[in-house]
Amino acid sequence: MSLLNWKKSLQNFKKLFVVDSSTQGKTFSLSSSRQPYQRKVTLTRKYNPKNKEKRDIPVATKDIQKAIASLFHANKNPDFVNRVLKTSYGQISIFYYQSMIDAQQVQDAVIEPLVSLNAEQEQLSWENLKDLLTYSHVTKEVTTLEDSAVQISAGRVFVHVEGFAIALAVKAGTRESRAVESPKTETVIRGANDSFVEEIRTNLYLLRMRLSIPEFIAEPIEQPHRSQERLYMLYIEGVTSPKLVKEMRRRLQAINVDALHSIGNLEHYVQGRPLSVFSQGITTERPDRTISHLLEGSVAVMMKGSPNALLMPVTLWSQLHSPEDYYFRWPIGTFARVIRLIALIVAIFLPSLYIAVVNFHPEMIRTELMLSIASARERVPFPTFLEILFLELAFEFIRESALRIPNMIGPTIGIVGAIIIGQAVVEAGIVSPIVIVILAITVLAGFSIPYYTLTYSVRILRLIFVFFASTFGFFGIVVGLLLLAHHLVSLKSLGVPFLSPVSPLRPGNQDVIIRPLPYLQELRPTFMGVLNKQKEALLQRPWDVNTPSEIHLLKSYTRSKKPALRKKKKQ
Amino acid sequence: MKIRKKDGVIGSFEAFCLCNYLIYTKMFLAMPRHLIEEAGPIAWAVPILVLIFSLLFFYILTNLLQRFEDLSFLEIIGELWGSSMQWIIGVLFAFLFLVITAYQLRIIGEFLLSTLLPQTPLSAVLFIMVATFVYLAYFGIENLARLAGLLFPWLLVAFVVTFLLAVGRGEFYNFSPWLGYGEWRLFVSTVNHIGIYKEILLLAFIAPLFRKHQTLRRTGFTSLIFVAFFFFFAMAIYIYVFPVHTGSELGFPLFQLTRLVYYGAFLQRIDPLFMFVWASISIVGMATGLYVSALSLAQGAKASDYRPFLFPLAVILLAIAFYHESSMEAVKNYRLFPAYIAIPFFGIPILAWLWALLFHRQRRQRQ
Repeated sequence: MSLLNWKKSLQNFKKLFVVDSSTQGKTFSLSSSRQPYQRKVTLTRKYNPKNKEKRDIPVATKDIQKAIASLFHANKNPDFVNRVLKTSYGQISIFYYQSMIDAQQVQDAVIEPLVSLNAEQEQLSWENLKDLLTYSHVTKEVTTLEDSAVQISAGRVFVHVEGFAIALAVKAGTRESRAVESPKTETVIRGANDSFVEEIRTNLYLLRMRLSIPEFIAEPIEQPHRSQERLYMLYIEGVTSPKLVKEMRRRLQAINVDALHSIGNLEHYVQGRPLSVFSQGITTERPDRTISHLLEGSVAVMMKGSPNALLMPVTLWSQLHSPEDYYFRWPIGTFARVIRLIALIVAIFLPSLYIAVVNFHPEMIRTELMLSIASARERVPFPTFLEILFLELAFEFIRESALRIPNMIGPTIGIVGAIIIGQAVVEAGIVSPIVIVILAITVLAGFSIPYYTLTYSVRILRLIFVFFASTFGFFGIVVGLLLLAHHLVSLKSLGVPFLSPVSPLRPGNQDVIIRPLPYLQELRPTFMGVLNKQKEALLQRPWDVNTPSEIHLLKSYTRSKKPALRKKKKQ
Repeated sequence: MKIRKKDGVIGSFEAFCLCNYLIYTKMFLAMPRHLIEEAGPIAWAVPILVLIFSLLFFYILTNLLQRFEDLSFLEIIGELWGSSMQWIIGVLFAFLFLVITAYQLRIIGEFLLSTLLPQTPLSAVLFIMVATFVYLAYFGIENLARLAGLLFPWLLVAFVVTFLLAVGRGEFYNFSPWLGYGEWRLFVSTVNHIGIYKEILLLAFIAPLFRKHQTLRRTGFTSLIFVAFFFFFAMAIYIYVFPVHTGSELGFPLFQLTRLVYYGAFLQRIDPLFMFVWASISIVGMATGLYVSALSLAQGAKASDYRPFLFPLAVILLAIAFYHESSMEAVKNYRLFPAYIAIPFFGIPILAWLWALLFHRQRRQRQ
């Protein structure tokens, strides 16, 4: 081994134990003053350690039959089809997985044209052969056995003609998928009612149908360690920050695992703080929501076999928004958002505030109310903390069982829950009626949060706050609140602060709690680092007498300036 | 050094909020009582008079920082007087910030026990507070400042509303005699409390994190004026509600003020709610104190990171907080030392500025 290699190996070995000081404390940020954190990954796993070097495709039919059969364990795998066709210009070998290919399409688009060709081998050129397969749209030339394995695994028909050291991978796959249905967790009253399915092409159709522009990119992310084209990164060229696209591509390409089962699984690999209780992205099943975020400068990731899109970067406020906010008139949308914000606060703090008031600061509430609470608690032998914990657990059991139970006996859960929680526990003296009221309001508030993952996060936080309140009263809640707020301000979703534009404060962005009038929302969120900040034209309602005349003037001014600007650019 | 622009920048609003928290913490302790004891009914004027001096001092400080742009205060000291002095002054300021924070911690802990948590041991309260400080300080000034900025508007509204609710019980003649115990007593009181806004020096430690020197200058001046106004506002309401003799005998003055509020309809008393304001400002303020202490030590020693200093400093912080046997002893000492502590806080920067003005340019020319 040369001296240079020795040094390199030593450096790589050192990286296992010592953190490079230049990378300490650096996180990805959209700020222009911060460069992305670039650390070379040294511990990459080889997908096929037995065959490190790629082997050329053999020319003879017998050799390729043998090589492919051993590669795919054809004798143990009845699903694997290996056909040899005799033609006037030599033998043709066809390999594919029966389960992934439409047999009729193979017959019409591949076998029929190839067999019907009447030519001598000497006259046949590779280009002629390729031109024969016009019925199939995707043809890829393959020159190594390893690449052929990747193509066949990805569901393509592999065609080899005797005498050529090159082969073709032809797309003739089935599109087995369920039909497009209504969303399950993001339902709306007004608005579109379609949702993503497991088939990626259908999903891309649903998106492209809504955004028919050439700048809408659906980039397949190549991951050499697994079957290709499993992941797609979606963004809008000219809008989304290139730094953001590059960073997401880098994070996706770094994934090196056997299989990713769903977008929820992928989330852990690409998010900055996977240990956090909050998700730093939005997993949505709605195409309209995906498009809306793409137009605001986010990146979406879709996966074959997963009926969801992962949107990043997002903010906490966008997790509190619902697509419906934009489909209703603005006062209704704003009111719904305010209600949701109150619901979020109630869902996190109400039980803990109750504990703090009852156990530590009864002087706060009116004497009559305090006496009423005390009389209700008279028969209960447990402390308030245990009462709350008991009911929380009961609610969680009901929720979990309602998810698992077959639909036929689903209503039973409601009846059992109502009897146990509504009546029996009070009569048995386990909890006081007021705690039931508190918990019922809390649970209802929790379910009014539109993003389902956030509902789960809130549940965990609620328990933590209950613990803080039962230990230190209001002071405990304050400490917990500060820790929570600090955690939230420190979170970033793909380089964008999670509480933007509230913290750090960016006064220009309006779409947080109050839903602005759509025709006044001219700019995209500035904190997303978008290339094109203008979302819509300045003058949206020229016919309206209330539109200030200054806007008309400004519009005509910019219109008259434009040709002059163009001329200047040409010069 | 850890503190560099590559590690992030601090916004003007966030830094402003952080300074407010750090300076204002002392107002929730016994300070209003001490002011009213010394200056009488004109105690509200003391924060305004101190402000005049503090503005002058901050002007000198920014002048010094402007001469050495992109350097923090301790790096400037190193540049002027060498590494050894940088280390000594770094240790000195770390100690001073730590002592201030420790005293505040002890008094606030005692206050919590006497008002809200009578059955909780002092150690439990102090431990949870110090653990919170370490957590908040560990993630750096950027997040701490953002936290301060996030809470600031809410706390401000709650603070003002609470005080205005207490106004109904006031009496305007409590302000008389209008000049209190006389001009001389007012002057002495002003000198005794000259260090009310000394924590503004924080900005000098984090100076490289500002995008422009102008931002730092604007932040400092705005913070001083704003915080002085709220010192004045709280003192004025306190004197308006409590006559001088009552006001100079109350344990935790501003808290007593909120205890007067009777809201009526649903809530009877709102003093535990005021605790949200008071505890939030104090905890963030003291966490900043611990952060500056660790940062000062790291900058003095030219260490690459301040974080390893946090935990040992937290242990020392607790040790100092537990040093006094009783709450009264801690309050008594806390009253005495701000006047002395102000000497290094103002003296060293002014000395450094004079040095830079007189000698540094000459040395550079010689080079």
